[in-house]
Amino acid sequence: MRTLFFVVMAGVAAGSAPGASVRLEDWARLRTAAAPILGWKVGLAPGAFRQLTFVEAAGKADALGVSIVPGLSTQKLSPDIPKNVDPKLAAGEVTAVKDSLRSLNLRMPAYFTAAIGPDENAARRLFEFARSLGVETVVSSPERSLLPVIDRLANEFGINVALGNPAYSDPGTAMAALEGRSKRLGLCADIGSWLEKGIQPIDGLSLVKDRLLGVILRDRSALGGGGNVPLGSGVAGLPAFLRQMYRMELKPSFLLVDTTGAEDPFADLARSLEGFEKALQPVMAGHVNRISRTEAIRGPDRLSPEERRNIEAALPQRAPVKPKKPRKLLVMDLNVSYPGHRSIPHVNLALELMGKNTGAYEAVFSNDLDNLKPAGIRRFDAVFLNNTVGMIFVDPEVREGLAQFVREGGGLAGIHGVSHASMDWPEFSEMIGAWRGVHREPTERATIRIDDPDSPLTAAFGGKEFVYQDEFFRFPTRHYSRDRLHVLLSVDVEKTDMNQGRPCFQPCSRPDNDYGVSWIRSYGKGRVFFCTLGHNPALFMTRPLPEYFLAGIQFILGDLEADTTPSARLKRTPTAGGIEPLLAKLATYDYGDDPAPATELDELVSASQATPAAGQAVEARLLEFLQSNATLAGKNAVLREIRLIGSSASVPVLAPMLAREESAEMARYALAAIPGPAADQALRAGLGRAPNDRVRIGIVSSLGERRDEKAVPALAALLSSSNPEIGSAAAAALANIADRPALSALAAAASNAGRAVREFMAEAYVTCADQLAARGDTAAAVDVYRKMMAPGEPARIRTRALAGLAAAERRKAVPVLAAEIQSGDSERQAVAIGLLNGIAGPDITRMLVAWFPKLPASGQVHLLTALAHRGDVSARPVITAALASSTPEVRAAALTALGRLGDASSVRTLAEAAAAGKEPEQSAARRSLSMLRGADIDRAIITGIASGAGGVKTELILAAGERGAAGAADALTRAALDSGPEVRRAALRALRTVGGPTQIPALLDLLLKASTAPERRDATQTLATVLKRAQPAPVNAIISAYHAAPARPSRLSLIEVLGQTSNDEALPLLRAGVRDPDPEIARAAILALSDWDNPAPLADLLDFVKSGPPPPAANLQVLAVRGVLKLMVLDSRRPASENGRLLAEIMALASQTPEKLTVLSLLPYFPCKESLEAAQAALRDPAIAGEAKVALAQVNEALKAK
Amino acid sequence: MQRREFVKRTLAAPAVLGFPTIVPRPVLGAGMTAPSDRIVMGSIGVGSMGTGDLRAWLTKDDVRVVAVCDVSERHRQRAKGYVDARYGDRSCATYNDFRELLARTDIDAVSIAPGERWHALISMEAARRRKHIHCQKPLALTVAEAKALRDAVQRYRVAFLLGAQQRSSAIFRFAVELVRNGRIGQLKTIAIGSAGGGRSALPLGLGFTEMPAERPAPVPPGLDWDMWLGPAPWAPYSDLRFTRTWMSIYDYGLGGIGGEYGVHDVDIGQWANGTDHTTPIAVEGTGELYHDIRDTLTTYEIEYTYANGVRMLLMDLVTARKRFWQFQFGESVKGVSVGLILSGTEGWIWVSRAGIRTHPESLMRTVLGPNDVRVIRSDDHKQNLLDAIRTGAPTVCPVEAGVHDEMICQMGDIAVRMGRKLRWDPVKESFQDDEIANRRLSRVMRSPWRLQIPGAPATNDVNKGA
Repeated sequence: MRTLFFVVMAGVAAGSAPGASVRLEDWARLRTAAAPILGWKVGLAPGAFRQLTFVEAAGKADALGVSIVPGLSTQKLSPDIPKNVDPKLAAGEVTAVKDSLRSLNLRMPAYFTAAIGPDENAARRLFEFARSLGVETVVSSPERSLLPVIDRLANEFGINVALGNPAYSDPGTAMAALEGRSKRLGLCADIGSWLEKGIQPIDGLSLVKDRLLGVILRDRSALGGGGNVPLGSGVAGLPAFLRQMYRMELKPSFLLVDTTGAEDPFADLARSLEGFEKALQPVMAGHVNRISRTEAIRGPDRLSPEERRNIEAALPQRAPVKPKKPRKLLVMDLNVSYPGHRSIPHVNLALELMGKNTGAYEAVFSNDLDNLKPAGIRRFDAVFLNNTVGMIFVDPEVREGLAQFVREGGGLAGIHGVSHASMDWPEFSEMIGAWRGVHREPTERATIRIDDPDSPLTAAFGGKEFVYQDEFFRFPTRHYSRDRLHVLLSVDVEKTDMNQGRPCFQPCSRPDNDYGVSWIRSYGKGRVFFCTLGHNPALFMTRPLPEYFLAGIQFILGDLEADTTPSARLKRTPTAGGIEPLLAKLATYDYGDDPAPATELDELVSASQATPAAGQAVEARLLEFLQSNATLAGKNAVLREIRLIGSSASVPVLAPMLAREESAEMARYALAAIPGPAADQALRAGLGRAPNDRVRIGIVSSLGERRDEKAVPALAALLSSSNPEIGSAAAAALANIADRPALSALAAAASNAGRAVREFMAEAYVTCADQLAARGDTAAAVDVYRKMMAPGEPARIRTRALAGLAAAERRKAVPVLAAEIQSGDSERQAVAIGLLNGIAGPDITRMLVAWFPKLPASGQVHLLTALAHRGDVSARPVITAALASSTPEVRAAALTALGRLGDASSVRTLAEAAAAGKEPEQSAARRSLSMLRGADIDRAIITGIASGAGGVKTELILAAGERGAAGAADALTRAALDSGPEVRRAALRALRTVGGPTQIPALLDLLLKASTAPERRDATQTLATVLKRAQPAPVNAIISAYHAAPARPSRLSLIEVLGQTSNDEALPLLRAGVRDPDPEIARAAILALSDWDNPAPLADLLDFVKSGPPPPAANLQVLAVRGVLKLMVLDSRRPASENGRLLAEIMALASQTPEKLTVLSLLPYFPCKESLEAAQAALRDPAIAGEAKVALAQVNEALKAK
Repeated sequence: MQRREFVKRTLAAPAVLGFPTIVPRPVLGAGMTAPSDRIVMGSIGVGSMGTGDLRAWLTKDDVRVVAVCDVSERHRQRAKGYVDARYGDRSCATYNDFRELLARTDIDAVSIAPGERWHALISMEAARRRKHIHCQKPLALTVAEAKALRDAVQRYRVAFLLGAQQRSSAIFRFAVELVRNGRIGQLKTIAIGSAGGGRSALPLGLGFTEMPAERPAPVPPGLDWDMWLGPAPWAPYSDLRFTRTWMSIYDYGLGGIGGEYGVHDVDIGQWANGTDHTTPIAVEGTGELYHDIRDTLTTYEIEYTYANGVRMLLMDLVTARKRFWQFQFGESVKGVSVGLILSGTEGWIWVSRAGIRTHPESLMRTVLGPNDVRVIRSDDHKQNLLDAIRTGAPTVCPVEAGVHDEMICQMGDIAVRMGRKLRWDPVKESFQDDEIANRRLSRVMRSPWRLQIPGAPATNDVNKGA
């Protein structure tokens, strides 16, 4: 594929650095592809960037993706050489022009100069200058008398001269002047000028015909008048003009897109170039479709007899599966403006013969793109693209035909260069899983890994990797991703020198080091198979690759089923071969080595459980490993897996390990997880053979956790071990096993054990009872509980026994619990109250209530809490009693309980308690007031507000707000109007949650009447909140109030209120406010606009910033800058480039560092050229250079991600 | 006020003899807390999280911290420094072995924050010793441990609060109450963007662009490595294991899906769904493991199904960033990844520690009315435990809720590791008909540790080891 990159190579030959911009995109965009395909070179008009030097403008042209940039005699060369680009330049300076063109890979086919002359000598100097720059055409407006001389010189130098503006803007005038002149002379049509003169461009063409040497493309809003508009949006009739140019086979040496004169020429040109491409597409589509009809398939006649023999010999004779029905495979090898790979006929022959020999399909060879249109493509089962490169799919009908075909269940295969087909069609790149791709020399030798050896497609490789020589694409873009593709083959980077031969000239390494070679994917209902091999013709002469391709073709035809789960989402399935490399690494593994093999083994073992057979095979292999002389750490990794999957087959291997000190713990780790009597038996046996007490304790615990009843005698014997830790472990184990023999053993131990372990034995004894009860043996359990509740037992044992008894006996346990409550011990009381409360029934409530007076304060608190959660309202009297307690905590608990058990009559009690202002009662009462439920609670509160006074009234008002009691709004409004300051403030706050539209007039009134600043603030906030809740906020009353010209503080408050409404009706008032002579009003208006919840006021604030208020108000400018920044991020629909432009503008206007930093931090969110430039510009400001550097990197990264 | 054994002990102790159980407040003056009103606490596990908890307890006037415990001398001394500085004395006792601290009868409550392999074991021992418990999330390392802990807390009748402190935050409570009151219609989907996913923003592994190799080294002086490992399989000491990565090593935790962050938002999802008492009934998921010293999930995408039809999606940050847009919640939610999306038939809520957004936007201005359902109101997570101790009221995140949070994290991890859809029986609290999956619900502990704690070494009760 060397020729594909001829431009790159030319750049290298001329000594330009790698990394310089190259024109690979010539294949990717219509604006550049037009040159090789139609002979139309597209560029920017001279002076499109009037303010910039030639070198800077060339950079812009490169950024806009065009390949030519004309010279202009009145343009300065560069910021370093501020001289015009004209014959007066010194030789070295001419070299600078050429260098800058070369570094950007641009060419200068045209040179614009106002005049040629005044005499022959001057004209000659100009031609010499033009020749030195490689100019093909000089565009000028010379004196008509000079034309004979110019004609002669043009022929002498082999340089065309096109007559252009201003003298020859009329085609008639120009054609008259050209009469009798050679074909070296022609005209440069500025179709904008034509339109101004009332000439339709298409009509102009028939006038000028083949005299057309160049075109300047402009569009106008009206014929014979109007103004400049972006291409495609005016009356120029560009599609018809281009079609006509194509029909007339005109090949002007350039088509230059001009600006409309807009403020931002870059965005303007970008838009016009898009308009141009839109107009060009039908022409291009028609052209390519026409080529496709005549372009012959490259047949076997291009191959030598030996090549044919080699191919035939390598092809499979049998297909992997029988086709479900006769299949038709469309094969295309179309290349557009690219000579095509040498391997194409080899592939064609192989495809033809494989189909014939095996009966898998019939290959139909045709390049006619009509076959891909919806009507044609249905005749095929799949499409095979054999190394198709270039702008092939241009016609929207062709694109939709192919994409729809695949989406709806068709097949698509591609080989090698296909990632370079129609690179401007994202869906195609998505379908095939690759875009463009870069490579080193086609002599690279790579080891190819079989990523999915279980796929039926890779069966031919038998799981074995292989070495292959070819051109290997690297796909650094997101299109190639294991998140979407099921990768079958990839380069094994550990076994491949990734730096063979000449380097790539583009970034060609991926951070994940993932270089896929071949993959499949599902796309909609369709199937795609892609293989990047195939630059070299050896592909179909090398076994077993043809077999692989046949399987791939049967897959896309729908005959061979294969898993297309994206590789990244795939659970690795184990293969016979998969486990071996891991075990090989684990055989010598020690702590500190790379632990990845252990993790990979874990993944493989988990996946192996998909089928019993595979699971057993893996277990067997792991057991073999455990008996090898692998390292202990390696064996430990394997034992972790045995824990998860081991069966009784593992027991004989693990049992001896249990007896050895170094392996005992991990052997038990695995063994104790294996269900079944074999493992029980091994553990029991291990008890006697344990190498030390720690191991023995472990085994004891495991037997207990496994509830091995057969171990009970042995465990019982250990209860009296001289090592108390063994004794207590045995007790715990027996408690867990909990059969009758275990219970007897523990009963004995609980009464006889020595002091050191006595308490533990007792606890195990109760635990054993719990287990018995859980299994239904309540009688035995209750016996134990009653025994262990004896006064001599430790408190915690008795607590457990009590809890056990309450759970087992329920109501029968009540007398015991009652006795506990009467014990006088506060802890026992608390436990018993909790347990009793777990038993339902009004009698229990009565019992609890009756105990209240007899309890100490802490017990009373627990009792009140319990009653509250019990929810039985018959307990209310005791709460009333508790409210009179002398202990504040008891009173607080009673007030809390009222929140659950109270009714409307509690409202006053609670309000009074809250109003008393003492803690902890106040918090409890307030919370209860907000928690009380019931239909009449709110009514009681409203009545209370109306009739109450002072603190009680305030508390009720607060409660109404807390409760969100909407019905209280009127009462609150009255309270806010009439009462003292405390009440008024509380009411205003409460209205914030419950106020509605009907309260607005009253709130407005309150605001206007407010006599103190805090009151005004409260009223302002409340009014704003209430207004905001009504959508859209009714702001008319506020606006009228403002215009009634109240005092300044009120006006400031009203502006603040309006700011929070974000109602557009308020905008005129606020706009005027920004310009108010009173700086306080202006400030408030700026803040209000900044608070807007949509970007409507953005322009106003920006205007304010730009108009630069005088120094005393400079701080207002800072506020406005902040406002602009805040508002701009609200609009997510504004294009990134516009945001970038806005930010750059703000950056220039901002006077303070913090705002500049905010701008920098926002730039990466809007990745575009403008943001990049803004960040670059900021590098020059030392105060923010560091942040600018970071922002620059982030913008670059974001641009790449895009 | 809850005096229990403390009361008995102090009656015998001359230093405090004479104080009545409850000192009438007026005697002490406003704002003063009677010494006997204070809840006496010990702090177990005082690494970074535990020290944070400890310092929060130290701000509370009604708490007196008297002891700290850690297997690292450096951590112990640092923590003791904070405690002594707070009280202006040198009385804070230090322990290496939590059993010794828990054997003290003067301690009412403990705050537990070692690595999660220790959470259930230490909490159970605390329950046995009848200490009230604040335990950091996650509740346990396995489902079996979580169940055993629930059993212990219930049987020994102690107050328990899981450190799922989002429950004590007003915005989460608001979101939950909106859902519970049907303000987004019927809840359909809970989507969670949790920790993990390459370079996690959360503490573990932070600062590494690439994980270095582990370098086993001698145990540094002042560190009880055997105790640090506790019930987990033996491994040599290394700086990497001890300080940086343990949370993402499977022997010690589940990584992002569990202790690192995951359980927090699962907990809120459960709260919003009103399923504190139960769990989903099916789970399936995909994900990837780290392949360095860490071997827990780095990326994951897990889908749970509840019996009430609600789906819960649990994802790491990176996956969440890719997936959240799929909910088509409009542009305002683009770019959001951490937190939960609670999506219903009539709207959605996105809530995280960073903020809350709703659709329709007007939901934000909802005022819940007097007859709307309210959840327990707690504005100070740790205070919630103190209140529960004093009154016997349930905590805002009790063990009964925590145990289900833990099960959800565990069943997700297991489903991903096993690569298949699993069905969960919420009554038996195990997978249905899947012996291999059920094996993952417990782990064999290294001796001498077991689910029921070995007896504490005989000690002389209080103040030993100070």
